[in-house]
Amino acid sequence: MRALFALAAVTLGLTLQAAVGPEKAIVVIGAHADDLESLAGASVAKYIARGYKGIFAVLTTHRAGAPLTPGKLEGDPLEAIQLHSEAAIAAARRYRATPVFFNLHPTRIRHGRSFAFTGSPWWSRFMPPGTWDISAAPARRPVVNAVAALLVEHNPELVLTHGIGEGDIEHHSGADIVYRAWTEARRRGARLGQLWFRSKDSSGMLSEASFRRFFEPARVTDDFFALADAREPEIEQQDRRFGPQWETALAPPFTYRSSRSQPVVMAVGAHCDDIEVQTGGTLVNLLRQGWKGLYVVTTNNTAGNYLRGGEGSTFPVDGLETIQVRQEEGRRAAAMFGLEPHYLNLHELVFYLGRQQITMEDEEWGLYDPPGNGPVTSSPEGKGLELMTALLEQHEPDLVIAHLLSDKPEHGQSGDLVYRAFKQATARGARLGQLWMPVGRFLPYFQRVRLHPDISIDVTEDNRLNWEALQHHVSQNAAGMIGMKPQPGKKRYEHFIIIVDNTGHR
Amino acid sequence: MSISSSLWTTRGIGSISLLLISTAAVTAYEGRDESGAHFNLVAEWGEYGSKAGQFKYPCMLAVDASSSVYVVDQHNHRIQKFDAGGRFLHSWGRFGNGPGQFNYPFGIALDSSGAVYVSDMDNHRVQKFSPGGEFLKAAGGYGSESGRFKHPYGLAIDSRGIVYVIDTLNYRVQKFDRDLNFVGAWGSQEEIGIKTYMPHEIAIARDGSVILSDRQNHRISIFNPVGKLVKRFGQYGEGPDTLGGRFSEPHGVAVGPDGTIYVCDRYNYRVQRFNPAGVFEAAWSIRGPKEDSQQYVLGLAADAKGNIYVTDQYRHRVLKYRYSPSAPAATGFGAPGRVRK
Repeated sequence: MRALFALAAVTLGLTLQAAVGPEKAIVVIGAHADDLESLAGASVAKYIARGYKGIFAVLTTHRAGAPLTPGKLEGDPLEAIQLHSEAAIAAARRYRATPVFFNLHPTRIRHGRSFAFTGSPWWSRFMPPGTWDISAAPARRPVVNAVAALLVEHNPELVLTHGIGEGDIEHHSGADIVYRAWTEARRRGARLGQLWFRSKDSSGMLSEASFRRFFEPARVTDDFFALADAREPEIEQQDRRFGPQWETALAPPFTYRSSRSQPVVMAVGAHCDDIEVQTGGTLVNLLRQGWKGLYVVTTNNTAGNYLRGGEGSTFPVDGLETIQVRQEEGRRAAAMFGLEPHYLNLHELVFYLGRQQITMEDEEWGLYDPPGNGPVTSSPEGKGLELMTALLEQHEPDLVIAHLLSDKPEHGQSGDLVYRAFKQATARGARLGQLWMPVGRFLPYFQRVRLHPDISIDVTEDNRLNWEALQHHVSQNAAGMIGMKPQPGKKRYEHFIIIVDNTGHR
Repeated sequence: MSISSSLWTTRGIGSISLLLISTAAVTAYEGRDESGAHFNLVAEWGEYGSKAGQFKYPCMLAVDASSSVYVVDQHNHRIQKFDAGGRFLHSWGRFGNGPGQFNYPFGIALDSSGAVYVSDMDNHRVQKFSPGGEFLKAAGGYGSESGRFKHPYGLAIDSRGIVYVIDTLNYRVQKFDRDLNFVGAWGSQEEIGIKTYMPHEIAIARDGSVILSDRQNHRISIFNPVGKLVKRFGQYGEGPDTLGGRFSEPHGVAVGPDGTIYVCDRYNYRVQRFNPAGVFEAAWSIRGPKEDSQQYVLGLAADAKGNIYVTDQYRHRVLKYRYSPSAPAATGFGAPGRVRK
């Protein structure tokens, strides 16, 4: 009798659950408190009105430099953190959602009327509350696991976050974390629905067209792509040791039609060795076909140069010496291609004074005044945009290859600079062809997402010369680029997506 | 101090160790300072800035026969001249690439007539001036051909008027006559038997040999005038208990009137003194404005009276020391420098 009653109870319970269903959840994960509403406020309101449970998750402790109270100047970072938390709670309350905090550091905090970046001496002394810098957090397993645990707990039918490729590095990093956490939660058996990335970001480096080709997303609203859908079979894992298996995702062979008898290719790297690392094989390939080449480096290369000393010691050297050494290495490497480098000499974020790393926030930065033409950004405070535009106008390249996003800020900033200069030069009447950005390095998503490059170039024949050029970057431990080393009989490709196409070929 | 034999151990192939016994007499170049000598700080001047007497990252310096001190004021792109006590006399130069202008100068040397030679590092040239700073001549330009440079650093002039210039990123030393006509060059690994990388400073020994502070290898290397390596001393050592005769990135090097060799031992924050044969004699720490603060010594010069001048690059000042063989200073500008024990 008791067993019968229990069975009846269980049956009744199942029946009730089937009638009502498990509570559906929508999770919005933003980098900052004020992102939640601007990111997905309207969408969340609709779903919550339909009975969804809402979760608002905020990744960082605050957004440096943005006063959350109108008219109030932000001063003390601690106060900013408090205001930020209150704003997140208030936003969640407006939508009857639950706030969740992950307390990651923003990439910078207010320091008087300036900013201090993570790792700077002032930051270290102040030690703001928080865990990891959000831009470094995607590589932190505990962070990814914590966000994954949230997803496992709520099994959301929808997860909304920023877009990969947004111009704000904290947004971009947030999307990166969420993507990884979503994958991890799925691995743990969470019952997930779709992952949506915001598609609208005018400052993003990844144009919508490129994004769509790259990620194969489906547009679900005016504002969002569905980047992943747990109801579809999981994409095959790629080999993580040496990157993805490019050969499985080759684009059609590259052909370029130009009215010029000698088309011009401009390769742009942030640092002296970046061209070889990312696009050197393609550069050699095109030069071999008779193209004219331009080798452009945007930064002044102060970030690091470790001299090898006696007894195996290594030590960093002063900013001026670093510039001299790295630019000379760049000249030697470019000479292997028969080219002369163009150095824009835009400031990096750091340089060395003796063995001490100096950032823009340090007093010594202003004292030393490292030679350069302003920051490597497209902001009007520097000369970068005008210098790059002038170079494009002067040479009118048929093809420009620049950085996409990266794990290093200067790479992304350099790519952004080229993109904006390309647009500006075109608007001024320069006859420019295509802008490509390489995919395949410094972007971890390719390891888990099916790759759809627009261009795949077989550089097997060209990589030996490129590798030899790379060996000239002695100060950067060039010999350590094992993956670049030509291996007999092994195919090697370089892959690109087309960011801008003025040719009308595609 | 010399010993009649010495042992070296070196690791052979696999785990086999070889023991080599030298039967030749060798000299021990290192040891602890037991000299009892004192180095008294007798003057110091300079602070950060662009006004007369102020510096922005001073580099090398030189002293003329009347003990006037010429300092390369690198980030002000100029040369400043002071009397022996640090009183500003005059300066010349500004940023640019024209005659008499500089783009991050580094080294400086004086010939017997008092003419001033300056390595104009990022203009890839050497400029010659009168003792008063009047431009006389320039030589160089970017390149690897004879007479051209890739970032010249330290320079020195021997008694015959031959100008030796460290042509850093061509990995060689170039020689010029007083009129800056190219005379010769040496420095490749094949030529000199050692691999150098970014050595900083050079000096002429009393016997005319060339002393190179081999920063990367933490050694001092001595060559004859045609570039044959005749002696090396020093090895890597860093920290408060480092023996005299060991270095961490030696930079400035100078020779006193008696042939004594002085070396800036940059990351041990000290200056070391060697006899003309390269045997360690004494060392003293360079003190900062605050007790126990450590300073980044870079440039070094010695005058005819045996005074030693040091540039403290990151504190933007010049320090002047007087060597006292035994007794501490009875009077003077400052307290004795601390001798390392």
